[in-house]
Amino acid sequence: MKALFDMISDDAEFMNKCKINPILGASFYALNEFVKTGNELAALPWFGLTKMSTRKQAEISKAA
Amino acid sequence: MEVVTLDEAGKMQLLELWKPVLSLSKANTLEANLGSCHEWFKVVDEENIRAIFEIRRVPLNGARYIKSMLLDFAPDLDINPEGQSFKEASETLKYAIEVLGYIFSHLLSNDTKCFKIHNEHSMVRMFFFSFAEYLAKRYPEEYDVAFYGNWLEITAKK
Repeated sequence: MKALFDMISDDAEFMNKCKINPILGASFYALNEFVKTGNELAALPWFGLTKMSTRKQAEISKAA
Repeated sequence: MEVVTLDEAGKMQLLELWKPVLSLSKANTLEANLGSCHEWFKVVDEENIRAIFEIRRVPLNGARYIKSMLLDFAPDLDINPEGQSFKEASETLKYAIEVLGYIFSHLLSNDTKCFKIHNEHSMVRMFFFSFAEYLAKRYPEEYDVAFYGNWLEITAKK
């Protein structure tokens, strides 16, 4: 996931959008920091209904 | 992309769409959350619901702030670098970030240009801490930001 954020950081068009809209920039920065510190996006409750959260839970159940 | 009020008919329609792809416990939690007495909104893009969120409006000295917010991305959102092409996963992640940015911008668009969010989830607090830090350090002339305990308070100065 970290590599995805690195890829987005190199996307000049998106980063320009973030400069124009500080709230979008803050959203990107906060998610990036969240992942950088070793967390998975699926750990955020906002993603709880998504396929990636379901997949993560299945992985955890399988490992257990 | 637009934010639209989720009325009772909209909630029923949403449950019909989302419940079949959710586990029983998640479907029940979603239904219970939507049944609250608070306002719900949906983020719609090209007629597809991308996310929903709740707003609890609380009056405070004439102003109103948001006490708490539940937010759910649509079940079909998938960011899977192992199962998708890197480009596809990256585009989906960018889209999710744009939806989040859109929601928070919407919250700041009220009359008071201020919102407070109370959240007890440690992961969400971590997100909000960085969110507040970014605005406070880079845009001190445009935003007043306070982060205390489980609360985040942001005021747009302009």
